Amino acid sequence: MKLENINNTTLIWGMISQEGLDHLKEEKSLVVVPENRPYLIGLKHNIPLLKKEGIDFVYCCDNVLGLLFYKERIKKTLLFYKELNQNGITGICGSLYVTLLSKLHNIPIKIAPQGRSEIAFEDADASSLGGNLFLEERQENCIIKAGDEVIETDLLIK
Amino acid sequence: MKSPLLFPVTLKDNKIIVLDETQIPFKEEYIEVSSLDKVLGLLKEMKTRSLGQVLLFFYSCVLFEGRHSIDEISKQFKMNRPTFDFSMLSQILKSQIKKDVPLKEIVNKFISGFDLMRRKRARELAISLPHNASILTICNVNGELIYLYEELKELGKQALFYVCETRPYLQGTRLSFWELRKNNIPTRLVCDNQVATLMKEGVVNCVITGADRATTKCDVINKVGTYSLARLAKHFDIPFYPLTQYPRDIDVDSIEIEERPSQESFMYLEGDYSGTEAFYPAFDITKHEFITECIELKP
Repeated sequence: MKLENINNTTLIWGMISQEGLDHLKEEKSLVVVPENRPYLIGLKHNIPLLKKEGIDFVYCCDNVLGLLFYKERIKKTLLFYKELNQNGITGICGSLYVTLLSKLHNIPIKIAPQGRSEIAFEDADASSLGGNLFLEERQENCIIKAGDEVIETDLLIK
Repeated sequence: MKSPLLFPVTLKDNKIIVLDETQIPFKEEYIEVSSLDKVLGLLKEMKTRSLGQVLLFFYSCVLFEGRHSIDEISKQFKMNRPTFDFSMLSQILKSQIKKDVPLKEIVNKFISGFDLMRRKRARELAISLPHNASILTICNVNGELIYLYEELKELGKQALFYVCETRPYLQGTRLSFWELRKNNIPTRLVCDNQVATLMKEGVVNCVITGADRATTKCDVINKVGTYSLARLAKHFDIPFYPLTQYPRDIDVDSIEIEERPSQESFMYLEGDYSGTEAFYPAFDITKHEFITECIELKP
């Protein structure tokens, strides 16, 4: 898809839930689905569900989001969290990246509990992609482990 | 210390020898080409990029001199990689042409001068960096991080590199992480989306990137993902330094951003994604307000 066809989109981050799907169906805007490294949740979990529901989407690598924000192609961010408490939320790897980029571009963030998946996500960090190792050898001590990220409430309020 | 990425393209016996960067780290394989069509094919397939495409352009001008003009070669290159400023390379080369001096000699002199300038630039940057430099980077700057490390050590400074994997081509993982580790330089690999957490936790204290294009105002175009690094670095008050060369007095937003084929978003993933719409711009734009200082290549 070309940039000229990507307008007024909703960006999703994390594991989409039925509530999220219902919201997107109602909204009828194009959905931006990032890869969600290292797990590839975007590719393995979100895309099949969006396809099944007939929701229009465009897929991209996580690092493409900056250009989409810069070009003002994102109008809302829908962030799926694992946990919610009085201080904020806990989300998957990259949740802070997406929250801050949204905040810095004045894009509203809607939060929703994440969905469930039976899929085995085989990648735990940047050392592998789709289960394949892209290093000459495994160098565990040189890879930063991917973990959940805490987002404070003040970052989620516009 | 060395890396084949320092000079990924060479000219030998009327053939251009190109390091196939898509095969690294598993194979150090070289492709020999002797026709312009094949050169353009390699360029389009991203077998080489960044400095490699500069060298490829200069050596093509030497090899195909007489059959194609420098401007003609520049136009052909631009058709395949539209964001890069091949017309500027064409102007540089034409300005160096002297009567009775073979083009090959001019090109070789220019390239060796270019490498000296890269070393000098690494020195200048090393002076600016803190004593315990914890450097976040993206994509690959053809061995210049090795030069930087050497200069930092020379100044008695410590350095640790954090490399973004740089999806979808994984230039961070396959090229930067590989060449730094090969030279026993302390390095860590991260997913592209982990950078905000690294910055928040104070793990990194500076960001260094390349720049495919730069303007005199210090706006840059570089590998997609660079803009996010700059915005987040600014937010966390972390200095951001792109390595720039030959800035032009132009509006950065007027430069075409190359959009690669949709299917390249799924690079290195197994499966058939032909029915899935994707968007893959090769570059993004970073304005000067998010840049601490452009570290320019100087004579």
